[in-house]
Amino acid sequence: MVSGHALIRFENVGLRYGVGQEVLRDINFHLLPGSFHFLTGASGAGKTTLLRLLNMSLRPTRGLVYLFGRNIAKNTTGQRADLRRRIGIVFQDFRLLDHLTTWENVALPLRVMGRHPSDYQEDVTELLKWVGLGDRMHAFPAVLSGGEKQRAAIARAVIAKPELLLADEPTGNVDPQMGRRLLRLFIELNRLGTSIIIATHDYQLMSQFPAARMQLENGRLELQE
Amino acid sequence: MSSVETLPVPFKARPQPVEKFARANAPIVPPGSVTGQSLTLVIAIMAFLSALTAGGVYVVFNAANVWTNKISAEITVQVQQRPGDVSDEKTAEVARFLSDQNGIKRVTPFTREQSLKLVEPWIGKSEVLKAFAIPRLIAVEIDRDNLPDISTLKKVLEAKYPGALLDDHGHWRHEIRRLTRLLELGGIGMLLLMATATAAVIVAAATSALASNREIVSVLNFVGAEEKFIARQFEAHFLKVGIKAGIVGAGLAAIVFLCLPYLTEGVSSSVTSEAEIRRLVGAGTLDLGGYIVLLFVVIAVAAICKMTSRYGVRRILNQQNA
Repeated sequence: MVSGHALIRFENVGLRYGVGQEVLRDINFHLLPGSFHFLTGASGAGKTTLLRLLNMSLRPTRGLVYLFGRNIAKNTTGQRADLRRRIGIVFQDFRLLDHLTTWENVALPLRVMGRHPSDYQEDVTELLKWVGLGDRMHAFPAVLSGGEKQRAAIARAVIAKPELLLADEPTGNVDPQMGRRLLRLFIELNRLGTSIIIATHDYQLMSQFPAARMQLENGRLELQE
Repeated sequence: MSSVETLPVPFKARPQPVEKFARANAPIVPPGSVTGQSLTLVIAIMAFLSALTAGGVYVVFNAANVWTNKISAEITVQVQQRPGDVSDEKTAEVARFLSDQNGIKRVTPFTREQSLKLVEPWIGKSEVLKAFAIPRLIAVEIDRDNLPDISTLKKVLEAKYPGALLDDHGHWRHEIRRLTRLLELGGIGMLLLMATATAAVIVAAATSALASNREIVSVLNFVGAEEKFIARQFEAHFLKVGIKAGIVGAGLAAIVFLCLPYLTEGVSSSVTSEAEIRRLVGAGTLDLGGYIVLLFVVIAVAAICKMTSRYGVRRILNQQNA
């Protein structure tokens, strides 16, 4: 079933882990393509859970979630992979593969798409330089600092120019200057058409760009345009 | 990348040298994480046991066929002496009669000494034996391309020569068939059990190897890799492990079969018991067909490894996409 032109649509979504209380309650919202949102709320408010619903690693216990107009509950494994190719994810814990170099980690989304290395060699190299990892391209994650890992994770999430970028605390481990630089990258991506959702506690970061906010409180979501 | 080219970065204006990427086709799954020594060892041992069982069943199959063929290619005629018979003459007469029949290839009458030798293992060597009226035997080889009508031959022979008895080995053939059928069924049962155990051990070992790569599966899943793509990354490694371990296991089993004649020499207490073992199961070595059976074991082990990895990846993905 296709749901309007919304990029993301949540209808009466609720989620509980096991038999506990609902972590998310009655979530209703829709986001249009090309939007930019900060997702905020206190620790434990459910920001990461909402992002996990959006990246399809969780299913709602009630309600419907539509991504790119498609009900995610009805996705086949192939359709889920197709949708994930349209989504870039920056994990809070980076999730870089330790046996691959920074360059190889960043190139991974393009590689799984079956693209030839010669097609993306230059792109990956340039992006790594842009995020300040030009001299760390052939280093393995084990020797990268927290900030470097975060930038590599961001580069991996944006390299395939996703239609939707989900970032969980993407500036948590970088200095303010690099934080601003990364925000510029997100803004530029958004200008090119990518919808952005950044889960963050960083009010300084949010103050630098007048984006709409999604405020989570006690499992309920409030949209502040 | 167009998005980067539009970024407001001063150094972007200058042409940048393109760095050589180190490993465009770096393995997404590190080989060492799957091809651990213990996994290879476990699979090699199971492949060895399976190959040994499969080879053993093959040897028994072959021996059973040889026994049945040999026994059905011969009939025996006993010539019981009656009062007034001149033993040698009567035996020669019966032998001539048999030679003249259709479908008879060779007729070999046993001399009195040869007949006595046949009962020696049970009664012992004694001069007294010579006083007994031991029946004379005639071994008759049948032409397998032109089989005689045994039942008619038996009727005619026994009517024409009172005291002559034709034994077509039917009773023995039936007994041997029953025994070999049992051996075959036992062997197949053992082979099935061994194959199931091998598959279970490989599944357990491979699943734990996959579990240690859960993070890789997870990342590939989130960057949009298809299930087939992820499975392929692991399959190649597991296939290599399966082939390597299968070759080692089946190779060792082949060496055991090659050495089997020397082993039977070592375990048998006398030359006759060794000969008995050989008569029962042949030399125990494998022919070309036997080695092809071992090759199938290698293929089966490799296939189990490959299928297991696919199943394991699917299981992890199902858990992650719950």
